Amino acid sequence: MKAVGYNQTGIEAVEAGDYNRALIEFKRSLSLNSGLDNRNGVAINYLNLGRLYLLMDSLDDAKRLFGESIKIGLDINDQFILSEAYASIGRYYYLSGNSKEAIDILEKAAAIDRKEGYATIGSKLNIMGIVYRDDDRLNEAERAFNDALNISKSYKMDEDTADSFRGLGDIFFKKRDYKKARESYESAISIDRRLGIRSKISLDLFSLGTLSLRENDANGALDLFLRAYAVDSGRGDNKRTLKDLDRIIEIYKESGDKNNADAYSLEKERRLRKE
Amino acid sequence: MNMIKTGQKDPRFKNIERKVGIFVFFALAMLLALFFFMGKERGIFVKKYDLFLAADSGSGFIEGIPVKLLGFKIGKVKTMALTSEAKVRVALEIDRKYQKWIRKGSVAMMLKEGFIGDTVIEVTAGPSSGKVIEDKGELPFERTGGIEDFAREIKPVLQEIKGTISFVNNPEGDIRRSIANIEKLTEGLLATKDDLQEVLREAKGALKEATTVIAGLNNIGKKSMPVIDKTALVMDKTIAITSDAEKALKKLPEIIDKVDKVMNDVNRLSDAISNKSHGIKNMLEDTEDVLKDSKEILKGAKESWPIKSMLPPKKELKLIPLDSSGR
Repeated sequence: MKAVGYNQTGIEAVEAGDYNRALIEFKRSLSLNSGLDNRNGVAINYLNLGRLYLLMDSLDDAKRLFGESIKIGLDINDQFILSEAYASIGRYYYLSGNSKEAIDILEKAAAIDRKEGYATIGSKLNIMGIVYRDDDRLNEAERAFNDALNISKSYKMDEDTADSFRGLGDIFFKKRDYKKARESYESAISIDRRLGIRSKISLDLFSLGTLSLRENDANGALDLFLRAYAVDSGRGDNKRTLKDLDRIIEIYKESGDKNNADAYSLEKERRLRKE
Repeated sequence: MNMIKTGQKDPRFKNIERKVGIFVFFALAMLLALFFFMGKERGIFVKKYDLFLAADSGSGFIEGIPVKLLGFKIGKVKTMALTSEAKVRVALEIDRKYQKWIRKGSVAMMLKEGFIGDTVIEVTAGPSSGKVIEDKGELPFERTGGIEDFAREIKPVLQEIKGTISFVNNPEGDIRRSIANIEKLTEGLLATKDDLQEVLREAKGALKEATTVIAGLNNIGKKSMPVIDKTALVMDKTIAITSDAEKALKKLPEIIDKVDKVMNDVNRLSDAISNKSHGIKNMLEDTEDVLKDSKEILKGAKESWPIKSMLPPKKELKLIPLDSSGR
């Protein structure tokens, strides 16, 4: 029970952007599960630690842990562990720039989900969508996001549904269909608001801000970036806060508001020192 | 005349018209103020505007039920009408000061305050980027579950349970008939037991007589000669024994018949059980389905608000959701 508690605290710390705290909690949980020889628990701890390392840009550590969880998954024949581990490696390949390997292993994970009827299939299709999106294979990306959207809706997986809407928004944005892009982003943010997932809300706000900027609505964009900045800095996500600040400074500079541009530039420098 | 004169001269009646006028004026002013404050309290002077929503059914809508935003009352249901598309068009009267919150992206939902509380229409605040919905605008509507929906979901399960109980209780049904067969079999066995006891009693008597005859024969051996005198007696007894043995033999087919009947009953019972096992199997399958449905409903109920919020979180190891938001 304690292992479950530490793991849960770790997940909450990840959501709050406190990765160091999450690392400690997951390791505590892993130590207890190892002592109890709870192999399923150990595999889940490895997966969580691996995903956390991905967020902390320690890609090689992440891959090693995903490999360990695959070994356990095969040993105890746990299809869920295997599917989640393959998908995590898919995300690792994507972040390492190996889109082909990413797609191959994500297909493998999705096939397990399809066979076993796991509701998590939408998240795998969504990652496939972003791999295609970044490869500029827009039609394949749109198909993957649409598949993910339909499946996630049918399984009532709201978080994955919002991710699919956001992904589709990106595709429409790239295809210059700004009306559809806005509709998709609005759908995503309304779900994320309902779920109260602050990390996703800030992403939606950022996407809407970028869209407003493209539509030459600088004031609207500034409002959205400022809101994304408020959410990200409140969560303690320095990396994303810096991204928000870049856009805010850019808009203030363009509009000739030197005072605000300087103030936010100072804030950016302060945060860069923290990095 | 005297009285009038007295009244006119009495200083208390001096300027009486003015005094009465002032009194009436203040009374009217108080009355108006009272109406004003009551009207203000009831929101008569608040500027309002109308919004419309289309629902599949008018069930649950009552004119006057409150419309709320984040728990604050912002208006009420004004009117309802059936459209030519067989939809219910509901007009909401909303205070104008809350208009800025109701934007494109806002949704109206029918909720219960508490699981079985009063019905309210809850409107969600729209995203700040959304356009404010103007007077006579349309709001999307969603109906969310209260106790009625829960009752609707659980009704088929209860019907299945009722069907299973009827199946068990039906006098012509497989279960009841099997029980009746077992009762018959028990009665047959009791009768057979009585018969067997009677036969045993008779056989015992015959054996006793045979022993006596053998003893007599022994005496014959000893007394050689006087035997002849007693031969007739022995013969009589032998005849009696034979007769008893015959009686016993006559009883045997009856016993066999009864045993046969018992066996038939056993066969019938096993046939009945064998035939009915299909029914029992169906019943077990039905029960399993019912349990499965109940489980699903409970799962659904557990996942739905507000039961979800009352339950402790599941104690299981969870995974960080896989980030599907790009680099």
